[in-house]
Amino acid sequence: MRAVEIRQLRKSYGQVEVIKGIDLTIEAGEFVSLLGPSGCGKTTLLRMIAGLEVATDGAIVIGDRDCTNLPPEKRNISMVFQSYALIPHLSVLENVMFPLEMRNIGATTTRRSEAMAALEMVGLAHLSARRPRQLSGGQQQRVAVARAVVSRPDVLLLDEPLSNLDAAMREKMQEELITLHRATGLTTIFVTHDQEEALSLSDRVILLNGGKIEQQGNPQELYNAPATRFAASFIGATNLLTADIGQEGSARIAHLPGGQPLRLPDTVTATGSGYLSLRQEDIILARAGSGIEGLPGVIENRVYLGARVRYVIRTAAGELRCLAAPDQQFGVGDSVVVTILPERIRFLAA
Amino acid sequence: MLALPYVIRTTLAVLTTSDPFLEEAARTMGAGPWRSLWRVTVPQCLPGIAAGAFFAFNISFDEAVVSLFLRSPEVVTLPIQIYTQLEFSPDPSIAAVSSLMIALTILLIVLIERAVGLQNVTE
Repeated sequence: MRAVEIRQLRKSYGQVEVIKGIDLTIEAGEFVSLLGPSGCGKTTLLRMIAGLEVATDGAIVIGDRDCTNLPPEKRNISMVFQSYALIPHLSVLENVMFPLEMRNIGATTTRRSEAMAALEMVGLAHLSARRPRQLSGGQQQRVAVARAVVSRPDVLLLDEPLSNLDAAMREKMQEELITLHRATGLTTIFVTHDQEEALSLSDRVILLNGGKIEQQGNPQELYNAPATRFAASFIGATNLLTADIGQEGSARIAHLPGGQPLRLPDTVTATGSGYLSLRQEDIILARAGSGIEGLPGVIENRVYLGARVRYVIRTAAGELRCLAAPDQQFGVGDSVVVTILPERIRFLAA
Repeated sequence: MLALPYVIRTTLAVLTTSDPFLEEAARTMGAGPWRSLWRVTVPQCLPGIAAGAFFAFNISFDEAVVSLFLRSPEVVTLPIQIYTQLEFSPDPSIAAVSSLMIALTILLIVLIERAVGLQNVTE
């Protein structure tokens, strides 16, 4: 069953069109991320689903109701804001009861117990009498989430809710969001510019660029099979090399700028010029002169990241970045040979 | 009228420091525009309105010239009374009133200092 359907949605501010015709169907219970760089229209799209922005053209259907021209309070949605937007003069409990009261859900007595149950779910029942400003950032975040799920909306909208938290807290909240989604089964739309967050949380990632959907799919598809140059460079850390693909028999051979031929996997069927996408973790380094054939290069920089080491390698084909295990020791200036697992190479037509 | 700018200033100051998304958040929780104004925005402004009212009271209280011209004959404000007395029958009651007001001000400052600390008030 579909929960949200968006048809040919457009939004213009004066002459500038920020949403350029988006079609999107979201199934009930699905966790979908809207991912993209700043200015790609992801927040505008979310605010249009919420009713906080009016569509210039197109339609938004939530549940089985056409909501395109309905104000936010008439849509059965809820939203978690980046700033949490807790009402400062109300207690935590009153904040969570607010949507029940406004939407006239249940009697006054059951509202209190329902709100307490929602607070229980995020582990904050013991702080229900506090004011929002007496809570830490993470706790405020949890209250905002409890307040959003308590009214059981048709769709839960999250606008970069984790971006104001520190790294450790963010990781914890990500896990809590997954648990919460599993427990409530709410259809969720999550806006983020953090590709890792999108990959780790969602059933489906919608990659937006310049007001259009660039690519969508489950996290594995998006990571392993980016369809465009933008998708490859935005999701995951990748190297893009310009290359010409020629045919030799049935095999496809890529010619890199340095002249080095590179045999491509059978999955590549295109020919012509374009880009090769090589994930940083798929590049294998060996010491020069160790007898391994590959692209020769020189280590130009080395960045220790703890779990990994990132090397910057200068080759005839261009600069390559590579993530290697820290037990592999190369110093700056060392000559190396670069090899790539052919089945991990993606070709993207120009 | 003289005090209006003070009320607007203090109320605006409170409004600009509050979260601009609060009203939108109220809308997404099912509150219509009027209800979100009344339940969220107005309570937000209360400290500003209170501060503005305090300023307005002080300014009106202090104001002798305008009151002198605009009052009806049977209304006499304290500054006008002081002024008339100074003019026509100087006696110690003016000094007494002045002392009383200075004492009240000092008392008020001490109370505020004890309650919240002057540092917090002036910031």
